[in-house]
Amino acid sequence: MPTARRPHAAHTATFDLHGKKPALNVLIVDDSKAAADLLKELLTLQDHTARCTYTAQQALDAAATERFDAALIDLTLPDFPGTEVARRLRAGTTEGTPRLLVAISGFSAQDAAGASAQGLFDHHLQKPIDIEQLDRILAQHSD
Amino acid sequence: MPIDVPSKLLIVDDLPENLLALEALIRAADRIVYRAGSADAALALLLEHEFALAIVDVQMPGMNGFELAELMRGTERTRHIPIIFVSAAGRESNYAFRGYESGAVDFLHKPLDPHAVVSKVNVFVDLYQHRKALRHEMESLAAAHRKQEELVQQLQQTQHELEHAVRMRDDFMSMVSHELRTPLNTLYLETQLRQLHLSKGNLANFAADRLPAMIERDQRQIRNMVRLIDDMLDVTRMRRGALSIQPQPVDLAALARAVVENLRQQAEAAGSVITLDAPAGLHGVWDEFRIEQVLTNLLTNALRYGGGKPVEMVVQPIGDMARVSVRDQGIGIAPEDHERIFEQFERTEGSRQHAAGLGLGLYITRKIVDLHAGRIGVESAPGQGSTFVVDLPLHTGTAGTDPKA
Repeated sequence: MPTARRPHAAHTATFDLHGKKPALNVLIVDDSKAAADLLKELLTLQDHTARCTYTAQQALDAAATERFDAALIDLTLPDFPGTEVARRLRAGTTEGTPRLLVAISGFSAQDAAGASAQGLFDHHLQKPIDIEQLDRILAQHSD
Repeated sequence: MPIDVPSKLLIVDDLPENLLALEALIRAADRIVYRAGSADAALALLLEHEFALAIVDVQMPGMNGFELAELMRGTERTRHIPIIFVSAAGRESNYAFRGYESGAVDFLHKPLDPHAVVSKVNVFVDLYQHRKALRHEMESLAAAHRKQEELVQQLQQTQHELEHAVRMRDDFMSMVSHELRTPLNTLYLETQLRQLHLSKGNLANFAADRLPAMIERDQRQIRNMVRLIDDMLDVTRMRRGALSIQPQPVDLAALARAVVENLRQQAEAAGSVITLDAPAGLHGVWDEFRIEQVLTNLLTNALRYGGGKPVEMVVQPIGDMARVSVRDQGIGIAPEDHERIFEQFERTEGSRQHAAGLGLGLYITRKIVDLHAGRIGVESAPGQGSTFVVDLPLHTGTAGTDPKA
């Protein structure tokens, strides 16, 4: 995946105290509250910051007021699809588009339902989410 | 193609000795000769048999040969029978016979020349046999064609059904794996989080006061997965007609209380509460495990689609039936969906947006109610909530397997 640096990256990414990778501010949207909260806890333990939302609207509202480096977006959301969240984030109608959009779903990227996300997302993670895989994706985008 | 059916020949003459002489001339193994002593007798035979040829004496008392021939030409059934007139030469030449255009007509003159008679009759009989063989062949061709068309149609139908079944199975597998991945994801994230805590030495997260909640969270996800797998297997059994019930004495009121108690936490999580109105006891003969499944499915649906508002369950005896009704105040169901929701994999758009699921709960519920010779129905309108009503005979008898499956 390309790692083109965007100008605003320097403002949001802060150096963590261990001097390794800069931490990211991550937006999470998943209607499974338990899964979203666990993801946040996992990211926080790895020195990132994260905010949980449980509907597409909540995610867009959050992005309108806060700048995120990355967004983890469940494709199946109760109010409207995750692809629509990505589309609106890409369209730049929110406060600074996260430079990394990751789709999360129970489908594989090859499924019809997963394929609809092609081109909108930088990565696709199929549930159950492997944290090391997520770490690698975040690391690629945090330098 | 040879036809074994003999050709029928009609000879008409008022003189019996003429009939006998003619019959002797034209008789053959594959022919049956019918004699008529008058035009009237001939007409009677014509109604009864299909003739290859009629040999008609022109001079007869009463109706003469030409008049008989005209009657024959006027009737669809006999119009095309070839006619050989037997005439005394010269005497009837001024008679204008009408009907030449409808079929073959020939003349034999008295005194009869045996060779001429035999060869003329042979020609007509051969013609008849050929036509008959041809018609038979055409008919069997048409029949074969029809049969083939039917087969092709059957094959196409079967192909459609198979394709549909394969598509259903693929969709089903895809749905099941998708649905399983949700609880699996939560469980997997939990284990990864614990691993991370362990590797960082954060043992406080495993303190005794935290463990019960941790176990409860895991168990909820595991129960979700078990329920999905059970539903999947139940549906497979139902399709084979292999789902059976084991009726035994059950207290429905006590069962309802237990189910409501089991779902208390789930109701809390949905921001809802379940109220139960049931008598002290309501005894009947049912499959306890399956009825528990029915009550659980109805209440789980009510919590899912109930918009966090209270859910009411009422259990009551009505005549020789037990009635269970479950009412929610949620999104409701449009009238056009009232039947569909009981079919497998059918979900309304509203339900899809509100909660994950396979669309099997109500299908299984109705099958179980059917097996108990009961009824299930729904009253609902969009935005008005839904009330599901199940009526179960107090004694199901020994109903075995699903008769409809």
